[in-house]
Amino acid sequence: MTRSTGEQPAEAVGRRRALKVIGGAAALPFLPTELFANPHIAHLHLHPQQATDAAPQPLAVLSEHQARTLDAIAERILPATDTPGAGDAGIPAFVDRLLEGWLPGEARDHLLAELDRFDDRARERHAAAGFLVLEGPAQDELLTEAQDEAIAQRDGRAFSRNVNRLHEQPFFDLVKWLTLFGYYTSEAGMKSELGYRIVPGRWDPCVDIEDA
Amino acid sequence: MVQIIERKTWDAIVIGSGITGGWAAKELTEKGLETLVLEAGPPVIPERDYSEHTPPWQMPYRGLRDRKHQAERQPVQSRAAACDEWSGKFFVDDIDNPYSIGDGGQDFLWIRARVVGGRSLLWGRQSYRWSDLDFEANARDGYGTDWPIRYRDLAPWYDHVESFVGIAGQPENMPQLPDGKFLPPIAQTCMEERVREGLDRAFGGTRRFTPARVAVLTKHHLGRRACHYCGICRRGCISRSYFSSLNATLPAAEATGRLTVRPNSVVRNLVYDEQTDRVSGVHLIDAESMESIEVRGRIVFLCASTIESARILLNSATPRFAEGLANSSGQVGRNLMDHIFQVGANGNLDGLEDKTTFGRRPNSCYLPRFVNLDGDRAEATREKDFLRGFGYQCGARRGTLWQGGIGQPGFGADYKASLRGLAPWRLNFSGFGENLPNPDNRVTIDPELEDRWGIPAARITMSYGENEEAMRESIQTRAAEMLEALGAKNIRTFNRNSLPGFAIHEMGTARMGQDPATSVLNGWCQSWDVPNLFITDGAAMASSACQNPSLTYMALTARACDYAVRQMRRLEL
Repeated sequence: MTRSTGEQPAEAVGRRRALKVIGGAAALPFLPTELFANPHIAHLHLHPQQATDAAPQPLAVLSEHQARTLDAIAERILPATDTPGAGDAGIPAFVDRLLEGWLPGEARDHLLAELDRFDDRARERHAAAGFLVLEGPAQDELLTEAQDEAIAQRDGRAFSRNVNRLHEQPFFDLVKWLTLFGYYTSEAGMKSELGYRIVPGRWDPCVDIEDA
Repeated sequence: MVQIIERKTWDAIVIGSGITGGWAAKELTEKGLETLVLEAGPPVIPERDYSEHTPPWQMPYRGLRDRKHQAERQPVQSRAAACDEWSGKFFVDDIDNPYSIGDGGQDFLWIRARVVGGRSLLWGRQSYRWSDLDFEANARDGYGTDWPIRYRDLAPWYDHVESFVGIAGQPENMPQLPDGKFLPPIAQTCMEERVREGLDRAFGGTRRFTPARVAVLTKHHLGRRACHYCGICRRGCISRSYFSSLNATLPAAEATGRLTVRPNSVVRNLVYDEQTDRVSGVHLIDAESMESIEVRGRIVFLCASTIESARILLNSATPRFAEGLANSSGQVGRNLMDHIFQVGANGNLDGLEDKTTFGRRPNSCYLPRFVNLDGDRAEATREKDFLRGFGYQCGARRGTLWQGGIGQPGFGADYKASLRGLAPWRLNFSGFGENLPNPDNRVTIDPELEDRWGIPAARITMSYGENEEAMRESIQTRAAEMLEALGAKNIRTFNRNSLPGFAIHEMGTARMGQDPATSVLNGWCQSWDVPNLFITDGAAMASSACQNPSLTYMALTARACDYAVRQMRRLEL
């Protein structure tokens, strides 16, 4: 322990040298101006790993069958039309991430149990291997039934995305919310349905809707 | 106890690398001073840490945030909209950086960034000059103490900082919101042009709906590139198009060769030399090694942010200044202010159904104060229920339909098609109101609580009063009356009773004044008690006005640096 006298403790030299390294150019580089000529190019240059979607990760919580079932449900909710459907939006991977690290335990158990129950009903009704092997009309019939149950269960109340209430939400609403959110935050959904561009490059305060 | 003493004596030490610390670094190094900037948090490397071009689908939770981490480590910070899945890393860890609430105070939300660049990375960028309506406010109604400066003192320094920052804005020739040195404005939407005309007609030009003035470049400026309208500035900006310390002032200071930034340096207290009546240095804790280090400087600029600067002064008590350094007035920590907000009204506007916008602009619109004006407008604009005034951040835009999709029954191709398209134009007025200075709203030191580095924590005691309450009513009524005048439908007023601190415009804890007995700083942001100590962050403000304050902090900082260096050259410091 040193007091504030004129003595220089031995450590100070090394510390001073460290200062220049920590605080110098390393923290504050200015990139060459030509890199900014096109910000999108600058982006790709700087974040090459982000130029394409990350490779699919192995599932942490969902079984392969559950994942494919969710994918099939999502595709019926927002099917491919003149734009991609939710089946192209990576919904199972997104939901798996939420199950693993985001949803409270109760909501996670609720969602998994209800997903299995929904699939069991498909099996019972059609003596098939589950929802995902059914034809579209049969799938829609089961979803309509689940939607009717959800409407009855909510009894006029709105769906709540409050994280502490998710385990109380009917299965259909929960899966529909996850599908909508997942689709409209996916590359397929944002680019095709919302006309999203990462770098628009300009601001136009008044354009015709068709041109946007 | 200090373990290590750096022998070098810096010409200047700047505490904090946020919007004012960055300006102090630039001005002092450009005037020839070897300057050390102390930043409590880690470096930010734009190429690594900026994420404005990372779309939701590349984020683990697609923008739903790392909820469990935030609940555990950022329960306060995560209340802020900007503390999202991308930018949350720039905000402090609430467990490492605790504070307490004093008896009788409202809950206070202290939103902070401890990284190189500080909150300048995250700010809303709206940049407005204050006027003599603001600098004379305390003298006019007797709340607080009179400012030692007037608009004419600051005007050249507004010019100075605006010329470097680059402010997109439109001149309006309104005395309560002086025009500045503007880059071209960001054009208003076609519906906003209608709103502007409609309000001019209905209110005789007294309620001017102008493009928000923002520190974002609409053309190339001093080596920084024009905005490319990606829309989410707070995540960083690889083209340096919005102003932050990291994007502009620190690189300028670096270019002089006289800047040293020391990240991870948590300031514990200022070191005061009883012999010379000067601050001789700064005692800091290395955030990583936990070593206790003293650095020395000829002058110190305290730019740590309003509450942190007060905390440092109060933690720097000496025998002579038993109540905190530079606190012979007893005003250090007092008169804490913020702006009331999250109050206003909105409604739908018919027309222009076939029009929308392209690109994501970094601003919206602003409607300057029109109540309790001064001069020959005083009578006509006087409000009987409250003092001072408010402005609105506002805008007309169209939302997407999918966000309401969960409320619409159905699924399948027709349902999907029904979610395509845009909602009607919605015009929103969100008020920002002035908060009267009140000595009972204050920062003290908690007698027990310490942060992760063993430094006594701040205790914040603050409540809004009757004046703010009455103003909240008027903000809603006046917004609704404008919507009605424009023929809006589905008009809805709102008042979320924002907690103190939540506007993140905190100021006032080391106020400037004309009298050393009642103020901490003189008209140059110089401590009355300790002449080589300058405080130029929000702490210096003697009143809060209703405009966003950062531009004024910057102008005050540049002006104080100019004064300090002139004094040093005259050997006065």
